[in-house]
Amino acid sequence: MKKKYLNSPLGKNNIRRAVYTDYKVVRIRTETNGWGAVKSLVVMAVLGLQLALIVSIYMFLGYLFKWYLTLSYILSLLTCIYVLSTNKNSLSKAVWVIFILVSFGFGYIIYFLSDERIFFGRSKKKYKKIFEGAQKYRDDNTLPEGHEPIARDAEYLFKTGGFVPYTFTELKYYPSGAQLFDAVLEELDKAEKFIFIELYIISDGVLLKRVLDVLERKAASGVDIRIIYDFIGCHRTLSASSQKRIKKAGIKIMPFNRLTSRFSVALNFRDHRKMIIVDGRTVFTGGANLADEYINEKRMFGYWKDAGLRAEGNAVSAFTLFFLRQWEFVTGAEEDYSPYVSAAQPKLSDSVVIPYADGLDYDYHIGKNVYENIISAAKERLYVMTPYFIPDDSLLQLLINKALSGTDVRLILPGIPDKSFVYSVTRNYAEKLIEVGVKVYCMKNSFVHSKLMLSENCAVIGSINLDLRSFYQQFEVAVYTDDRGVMSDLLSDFQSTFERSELIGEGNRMRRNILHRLYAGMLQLVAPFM
Amino acid sequence: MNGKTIDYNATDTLDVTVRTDKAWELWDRYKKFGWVQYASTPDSTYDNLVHISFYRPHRIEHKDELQILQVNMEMAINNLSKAERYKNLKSMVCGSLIAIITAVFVLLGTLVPVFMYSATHLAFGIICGVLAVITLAVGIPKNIKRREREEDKYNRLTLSLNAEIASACARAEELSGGINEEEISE
Repeated sequence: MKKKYLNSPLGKNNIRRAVYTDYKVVRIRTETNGWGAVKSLVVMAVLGLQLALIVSIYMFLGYLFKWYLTLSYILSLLTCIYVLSTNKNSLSKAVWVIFILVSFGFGYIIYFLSDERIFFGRSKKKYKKIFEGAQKYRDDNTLPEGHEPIARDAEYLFKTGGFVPYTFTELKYYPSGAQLFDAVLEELDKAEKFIFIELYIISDGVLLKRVLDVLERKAASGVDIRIIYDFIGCHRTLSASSQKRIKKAGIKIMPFNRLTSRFSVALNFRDHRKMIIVDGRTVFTGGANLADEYINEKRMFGYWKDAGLRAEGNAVSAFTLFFLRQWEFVTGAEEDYSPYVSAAQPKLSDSVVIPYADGLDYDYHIGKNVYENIISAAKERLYVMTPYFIPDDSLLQLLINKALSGTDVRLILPGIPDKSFVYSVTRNYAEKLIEVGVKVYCMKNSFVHSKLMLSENCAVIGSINLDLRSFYQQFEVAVYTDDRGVMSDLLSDFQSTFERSELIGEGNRMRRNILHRLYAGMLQLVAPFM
Repeated sequence: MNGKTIDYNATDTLDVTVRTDKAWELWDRYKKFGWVQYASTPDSTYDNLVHISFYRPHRIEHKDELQILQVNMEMAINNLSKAERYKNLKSMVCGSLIAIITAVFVLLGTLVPVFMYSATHLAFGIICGVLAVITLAVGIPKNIKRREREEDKYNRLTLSLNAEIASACARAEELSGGINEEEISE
């Protein structure tokens, strides 16, 4: 920023004051945790050094023993054949094959270090044991008659993750984080037995203060409160003093996948789930985390558009089960689930609600596949809202085919990005869809963070973005439902958002000169890690 | 609210940093969104900046729409200021280029024949002089037209941004219903 120094109005003191010369007339004050950034920089540097050490050792071997180069080339080719035979998505395979061939001296070593069967083997066994122990708490409901349009999706969810359909569950949709958290605070205030919170981001600020005021009061009255937060998600936002305050109140708090300075690809796997369970009778889920920007009390990227859902009734027991299994995983202590999972109270509703989760604890990429099934089944309309749009080939092709078959396919993306490089890839993919008739909207002056899918048959509200990280690397949670009330609320939200958005067409596409194409192509290479 | 601490459960707060010359205008606009000013401090580094703190009831009706409108208003105000600042940027750059190129031709056309006197250098000097005249003859009218286009574009943009600000404020006032400051502070 250009500074022009003037004499102070105080004159004699001769204090020099600057004149603000940025064009902005209005700036909204925001705060960031600088110490968190320093910590992550140090860890990144240590990780970089370790990676450099691995590379140097193998380069040195190649220099000392010429036969090692031949051997590593053969091993690289074999690894490439192995990569092509795995069930990874085609983009990941392409990226890995390029990487292994380009860095044939050490690329195959890094590939095997990154293979989830190797780095995640122990954790997978632990999850398997936890799942087996929790098997007896799983409900065995079947889909009631009259819900045939969603029968195939219900069957898929049951066969892949054991997720069962629930009735007697009342749902309420919240089209903004502010409305969602007002309802959360009211419900927390009514808690009598337990409160379970699992969130990707918890951030210091006024919302945390409001929540902690209630939680402290509840903990003092004997309510069992447990919090799981993602370590990376919170490391720059949740201060040590806030953690101290939480622990002092008697609230149990555990991080998921702590950031260590030992090189491991497992650091890339995060708990992106968002759920707040109160007494096992009410759950809140959706896209919003516990931070001021989600309720627009802190301005980050224009207006922050988010969404959430409240469920009351039988389906809450599924969320309680998801939470307790994750709690058992992070604490390592065995748990008796029975006082918690049986606390759900039925509500009068005949809509079907299927809560489902995704992550390395499951064998299938359920989040992605449910989206694909919904796209395949949609005939009249398919509306999607997502902050990031980095699909793999199969999902992209399904959307293309759907639009070409005459279905009304619409996609809402942010008008202001939170990460410019991810946004470049997002717009690149989205603009490919415009050519086949998909209507792509960007919400004006806003960052869209809602993760929603709506067809004429069903709706999905949850934490699952339409990107490869959510599909393959993160622990996610969502609700699949055919509740007409929620679907109608969602439709109104989509329609009002269309009005506040700009339809992307020939006139307002991103610039596409050779440099931009090259940049987008390079970003595409790292898209599986975004 | 004066002198009292803010109850963050019942009240929302907003901290805005604004240019001093626009502070009153903006204060008036934020009022339409239900915000009431409770503190104002000059910036410790910049003479022409002031930090204003507002509050409004947490449970205000139509909060989501008010927030969207407020963001639209803030963006429009900043875009207006940006447009004003950069309105003649292209014509200014082109004008400077024309001046530099002309000056170079004039200097070459004058100095080369003076210091290296020969028929060839004299011819070179004449060519440079002609080029300087051509640059001025072609460049100035073109740049005047460019400036006119820029002014026109700026005027249209200003009109639309002002309309956007006015409509956001009007709609916000309609939604918030005009907040009674005394009522809130009680």
